Amino acid sequence: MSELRWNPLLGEWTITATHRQERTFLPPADYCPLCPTRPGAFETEIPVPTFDIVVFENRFPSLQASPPRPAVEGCDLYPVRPAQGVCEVVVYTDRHTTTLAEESTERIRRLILVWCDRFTELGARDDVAYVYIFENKGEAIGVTLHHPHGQIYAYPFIPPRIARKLAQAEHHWQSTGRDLLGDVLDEEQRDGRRIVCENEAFVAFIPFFARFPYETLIVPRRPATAITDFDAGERWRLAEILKTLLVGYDRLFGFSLPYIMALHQRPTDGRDYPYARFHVEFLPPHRTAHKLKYLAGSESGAGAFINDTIPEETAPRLRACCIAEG
Amino acid sequence: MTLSPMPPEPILTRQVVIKPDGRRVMVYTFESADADQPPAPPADDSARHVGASLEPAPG
Repeated sequence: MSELRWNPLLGEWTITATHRQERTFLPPADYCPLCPTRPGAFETEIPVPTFDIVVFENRFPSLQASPPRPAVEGCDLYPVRPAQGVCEVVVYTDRHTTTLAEESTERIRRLILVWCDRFTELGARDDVAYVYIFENKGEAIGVTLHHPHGQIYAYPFIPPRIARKLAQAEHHWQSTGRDLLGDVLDEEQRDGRRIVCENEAFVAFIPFFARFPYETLIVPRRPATAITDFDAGERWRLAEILKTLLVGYDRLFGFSLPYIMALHQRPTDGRDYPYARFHVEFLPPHRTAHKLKYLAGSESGAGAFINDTIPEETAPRLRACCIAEG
Repeated sequence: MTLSPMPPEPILTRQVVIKPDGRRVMVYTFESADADQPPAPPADDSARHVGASLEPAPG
């Protein structure tokens, strides 16, 4: 059973997807569904013996291009919609025991080219309002497969946190004529203490208002609303700063750091969003090597985040680990 | 600030395979724009563990 159920208390959709209870959970490496299908071996999700980067439609999707009819009747208080959309898996490499941080800048650039292709194709669909590209890394985040991969959710609505960020940006645009994230970038550069790494096209920083100790934003120096707005030079610089930051994260505590990586872009619902600004957000849950930041009472119940650190102290630690990769 | 040289961007090609259950698989290949440009170098292949031992969850 799968459908969208309206939450009138928060004014947002909940996606139900009961079939996902059956999805593959931490299989042994010999039975990884994201490895290539080797001759004579078990058939994985990827029907070729080697590959560079592969994207496939999720076997256990939260959203489907041809969704089933909702299993429940809606009403005025509780509207219900089919779980329309697309869920894709992006497999970064055919090698099982690696991470994006350990891959070359060139491979990260190729991944960026794939992200551009998926954003263009999925964003052109009439039933897609927002293309959300992300990666969950590490069991601390809840991954069910260790093979390095990310995901893409093509939603039929603008997800609530993204809608809230866009509303803030629109308000700022209308009251000042400037884009909000551009002003945030200017302030971070003026202050300087929270900058983690930068190159000629992008700046990475732990923002003044960070909710997680090592939360980082990568923001382009020039306004761009989507990853497809960048030229070849900017794509390379994006690959470069991603590599630098990812390697820095792994040096921070001396192990491969779990994180959520989220790409934020303009919606694809046909409206104009001149105030949207592309950025990459990293949300690592670790606050120390052995302690996690949990979303507990204040965060989950009240929506008020408590950060046990201040970014003026965490940014220098992360910056010291971020040495530009050649 | 990083100012390393930028290698030529490869050309992306997408091949679509339809699985028996109807799902699409997009296999991406990359042709080097510069014949002298080497393919993406492989990563370190040693096994590793993502994350570290953690304190128990609260409550």
